[in-house]
Amino acid sequence: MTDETMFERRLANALGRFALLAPPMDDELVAVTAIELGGRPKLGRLGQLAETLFAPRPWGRGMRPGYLLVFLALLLAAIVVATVGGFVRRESPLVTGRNGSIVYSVGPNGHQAVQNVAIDADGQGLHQVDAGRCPVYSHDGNALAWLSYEDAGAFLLVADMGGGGPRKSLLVESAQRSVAFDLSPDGSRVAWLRPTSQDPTATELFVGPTDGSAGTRIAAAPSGPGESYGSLSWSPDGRSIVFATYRRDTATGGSRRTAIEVVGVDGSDRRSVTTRPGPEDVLSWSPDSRSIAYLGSTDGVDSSTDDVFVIGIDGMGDHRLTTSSSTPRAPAWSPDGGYLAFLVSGDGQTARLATLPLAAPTSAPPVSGPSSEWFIWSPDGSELLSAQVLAVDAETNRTNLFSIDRELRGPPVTRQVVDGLIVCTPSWQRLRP
Amino acid sequence: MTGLLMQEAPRLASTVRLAAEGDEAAFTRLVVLHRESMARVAFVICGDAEATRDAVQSAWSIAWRRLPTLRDPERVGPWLLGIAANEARHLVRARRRRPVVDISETIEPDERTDPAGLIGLVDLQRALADLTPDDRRLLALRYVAGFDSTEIARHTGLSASGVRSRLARLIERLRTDIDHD
Repeated sequence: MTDETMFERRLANALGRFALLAPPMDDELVAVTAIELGGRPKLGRLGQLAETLFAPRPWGRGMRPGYLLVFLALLLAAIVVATVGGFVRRESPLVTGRNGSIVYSVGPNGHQAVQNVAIDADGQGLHQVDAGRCPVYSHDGNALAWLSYEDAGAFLLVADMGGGGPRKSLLVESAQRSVAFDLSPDGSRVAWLRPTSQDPTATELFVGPTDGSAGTRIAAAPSGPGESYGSLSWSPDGRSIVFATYRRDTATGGSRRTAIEVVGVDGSDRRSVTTRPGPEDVLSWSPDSRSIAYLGSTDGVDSSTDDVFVIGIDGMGDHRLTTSSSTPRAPAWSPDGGYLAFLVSGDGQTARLATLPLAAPTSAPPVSGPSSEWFIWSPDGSELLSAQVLAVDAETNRTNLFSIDRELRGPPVTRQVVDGLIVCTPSWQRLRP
Repeated sequence: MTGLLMQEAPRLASTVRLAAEGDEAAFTRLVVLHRESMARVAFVICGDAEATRDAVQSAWSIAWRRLPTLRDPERVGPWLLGIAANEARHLVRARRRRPVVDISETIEPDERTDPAGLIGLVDLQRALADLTPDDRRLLALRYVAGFDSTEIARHTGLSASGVRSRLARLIERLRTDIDHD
């Protein structure tokens, strides 16, 4: 062995020992701070302005008289405009386009704050939306909801598309963790996972109205070690909630699903659907609220090969729809129940969009489409909205928001080109036929 | 690749996907899994605890914003280490200072000079302080993150052959500095 090689080994050893002197950090605090610095508006732009104006700080330091004067001048101008015009605008600016609006959150290039925008179904009419990060429409399209993390806790805000200010409900008395929730189809109630006071990593399933009234616990925390709930989804008929139990592997930090259950929204009739193991992923209701599409394994708890399955909510009729030549995820039923869409990816490959006609024989392979970061169904079920991200350079991204027919035959049609990233899956408003 | 980067790929991939979609709990799990390895890489470049904490925090902010651009979730480990190294380099260059913290108080006596011929950490720290942030980044990515020259090139903008030649010169310089003092 040469002197150079021996020295290189000694150097590698010394650098490894030196690196062990790196300072410890609080993981939770690092994550929360990173998310905050990543841009998460509280209560939208107006909320931020109000927060700046009325924060309980000493006069002259936090309170800014100039801002207050500007705010009052704008308020006066708005009243004058409304009076002279002879009307007060009641309808929501979100209700545009024939087939409902698509709302999404954009993280612009240049480290600017996340913005919410909406477009018409044809990709036109781009406008900003005053809401919190990652807003979602209720199933009927009549409400828009988002989470607001504040000092007092995590709140759900629900704004009716007919106008009026958002309703606000406290979900969790701590803003330190994200809160999983799903709205009832009409947006009047919410189901959410609330950490227990004894163990913040364990969660209980709650249901409550979205008018700020207290909720009711409908499922106590799972009793097994390292277990927690997830993947909750409200049924389209409004009667039931499906959710999964995950078991955390302390060695790897990962989790695998151990059970899928369904419970009535009043906590009654809780029953197991399946104990087939699977990865952390969504559970998708069929439009008739009779079946669930999910990812599951045929090989046991630790399997890394998962496929798309469909099962009745009574636990009957469980059957596999894909084979494990590639890894699927995020199955979603089309609104008319005729197709399942999901993402597939091979080893080291970018995920691609795939759809499977449910009327076809189960041996038929899914149709594979363009590469895709995520997707959502159009409310009429005729097409899918998806996105591809191009990293222009280390600091610049360009997101191509496109739609494609559900057979994945035609070329993708660009709806918008976004300078930046779409930071969470968009939501497409469903309007009455 | 070193053990520093090895993860349970399928489980990690699902966590990455959820975090990229805005799941903050999944993002926190990523922090738990990778924060320590990122801090080690950043510490070799920054040389002091305060700057290391700042660099790691900044790296996670960038990671939160850019996770949706990560094409291969199973490569999240190298991706994060690359961001941490670049943020540490950027921070040190922006502050235009060299590490001045005396680590000798934090090192066990038998670590300072090793009877088995290992390089003493105080000697190493002194030698590192004389290098540029770019050079310390190369060393951190090669010997702490365990990257090969191709991977280093991907994160630094250099060519793989350029990385190899610069590393060879660096090693020779450090050998002269450390062994001939």
